[in-house]
Amino acid sequence: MDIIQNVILGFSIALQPINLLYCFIGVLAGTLIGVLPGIGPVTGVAILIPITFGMDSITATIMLAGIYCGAMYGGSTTSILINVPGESASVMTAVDGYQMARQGRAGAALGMSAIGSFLGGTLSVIGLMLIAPPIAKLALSFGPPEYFALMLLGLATLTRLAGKSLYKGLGMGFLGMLIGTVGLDPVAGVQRFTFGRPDLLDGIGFVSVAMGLFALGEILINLEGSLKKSVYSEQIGSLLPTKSDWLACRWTIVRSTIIGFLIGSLPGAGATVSAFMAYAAEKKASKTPERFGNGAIEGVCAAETANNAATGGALVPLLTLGIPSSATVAILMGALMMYGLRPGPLLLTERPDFFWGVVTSMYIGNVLLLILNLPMIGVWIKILKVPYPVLIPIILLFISLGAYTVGGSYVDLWIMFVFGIVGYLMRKFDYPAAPLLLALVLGPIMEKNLKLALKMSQGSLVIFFERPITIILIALIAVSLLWPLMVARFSKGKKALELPVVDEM
Amino acid sequence: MTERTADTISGLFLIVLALVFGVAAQLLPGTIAKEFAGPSFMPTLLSIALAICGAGIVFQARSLPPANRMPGWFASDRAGAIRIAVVAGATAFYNFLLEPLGYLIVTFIFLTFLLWYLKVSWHINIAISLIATIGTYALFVIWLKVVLPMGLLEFYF
Repeated sequence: MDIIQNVILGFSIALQPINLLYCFIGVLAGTLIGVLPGIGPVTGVAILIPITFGMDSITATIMLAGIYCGAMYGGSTTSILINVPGESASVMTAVDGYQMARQGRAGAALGMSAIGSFLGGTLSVIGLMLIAPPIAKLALSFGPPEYFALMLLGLATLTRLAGKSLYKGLGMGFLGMLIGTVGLDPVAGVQRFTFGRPDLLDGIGFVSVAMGLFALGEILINLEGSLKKSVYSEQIGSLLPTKSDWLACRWTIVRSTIIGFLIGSLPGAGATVSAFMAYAAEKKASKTPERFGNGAIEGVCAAETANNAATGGALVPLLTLGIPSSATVAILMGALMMYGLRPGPLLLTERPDFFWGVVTSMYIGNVLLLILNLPMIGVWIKILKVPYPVLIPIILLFISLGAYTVGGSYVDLWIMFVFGIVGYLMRKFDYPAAPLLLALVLGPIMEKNLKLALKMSQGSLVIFFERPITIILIALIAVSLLWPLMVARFSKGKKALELPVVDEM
Repeated sequence: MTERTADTISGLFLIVLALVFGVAAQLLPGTIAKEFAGPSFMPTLLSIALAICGAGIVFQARSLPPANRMPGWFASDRAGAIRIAVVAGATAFYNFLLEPLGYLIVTFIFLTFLLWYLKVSWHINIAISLIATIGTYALFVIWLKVVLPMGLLEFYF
């Protein structure tokens, strides 16, 4: 029973006092980030990376994973109390959560979202523990052609799921890859588009790009219109859901966990799409779908369970294949590489202490979040009342500091600034930002694998159609690109399922 | 602005960007070693793909109803536009002055200015600016041993 031994190893690491302390700090900071509107998990993880410098890689990753899980938890509070999702994965929580708050049932909504989050989060960690080792074992047999096809599949699903317009999603993906070609050619070593600057040889730092696109861009958008916000200050009510709430949600939790975990592990889908799909599935399964949108507790439970279940799912491709599935996970990947680790199939065999330590700490993190969050609701409401004008300069300071310390040069400060303006314009012109960031991360790895594959085959593309795994992956790419056309053809007259724009995942 | 105009402008911009990258890719040096896909291969391929997407966006924009307005574009939000320009400008100045003036001085000025501009009362302004400047210095420089430029105060630190 390898898995039991590994879980014991993981707990022996995660329960060390220092790791417990940083897990606690991580989930607390994450919840705070999730509660504050305007900064989501991507920004939260990115601005707190510098704080992990000098720490042991396991401790640092435990803290970052805690921030990731905490931010997913915290996002629900703002959705329910002020109808402003703290991050995009909580958009669906706001639909019924805010209605429940208006009906005097904010407590039950907050309570059920915390319990749903806990169950979704912990069950997905168990899913991760079970599914990651066999995938990593399979991935050990992957060569450059398989990796290339796999990343192409990731980009194909990402651009499909990233928004309303296929061209805009794809365009942002190609632009991200194009920006990813800045620096040294991965095989020939020739400088490309560096203008002779040595600090651009390693390419454009994606942590700075992420801070610009997601944090500065979001701040600039928030400066439009009114800077005032109103917190729903009526009676919160009991935090414990009633017996009928429990009965209504028991299958919702099971369904949403499965949906969240599976969708979360797809490259490009992430927590936002998971929450949306789980909500849609729940509405379809309900005998009284008309209650959805008017304060149905199953709606709150589905969205929150699924977006937390997606956190465990999202780590599967990262830790087994070295492929980030969402913008937040891309930042985590960047952090791991900074700690000298190489995310991928070898991580499990070379550093089992790291893998199992981090995964079990996520389980502990979820327990801590449940214990922490319900009694601290009052504190979060107080923090919600901190006005934007006070928050904005402090967040700006943190992102500037983050870009400078992570990148270590002035160029990174300017990259952050330029991409902040780009991020603002992208929001104004309705372009999704996530495909750009993910393609920026995946592009160079993809190019390297393509070139190595072509070297193997003496320049022939036939290599991609000779190997069984690449054939399956290419078939999946074709299905993912053609799926919307097929759905449109077979569901004539029916309203198609419209996905939300995945801005931050 | 209408959706049609916005998509046409952004689509054309992507085409121009693709052209710039495409031309720049042709100017890249080649390699002596036999390569199946040289340094310019990927940028060229991606420029073409980006240009096609840009054209697709422009083409799709033509079929949009001319009356559809872009959500989030308010002609009357001059105050918001000024706020964005001032905050973005302050951030650019922060980047410019970080090295010559040093972290402590420029951060304090940056925070005080923005809090003043966003109409936070002076007591809170000074308190936040001082605590945030010294607090982040303590956290990053003293505790985490990150090297930050000290500029004018270099001599004292």
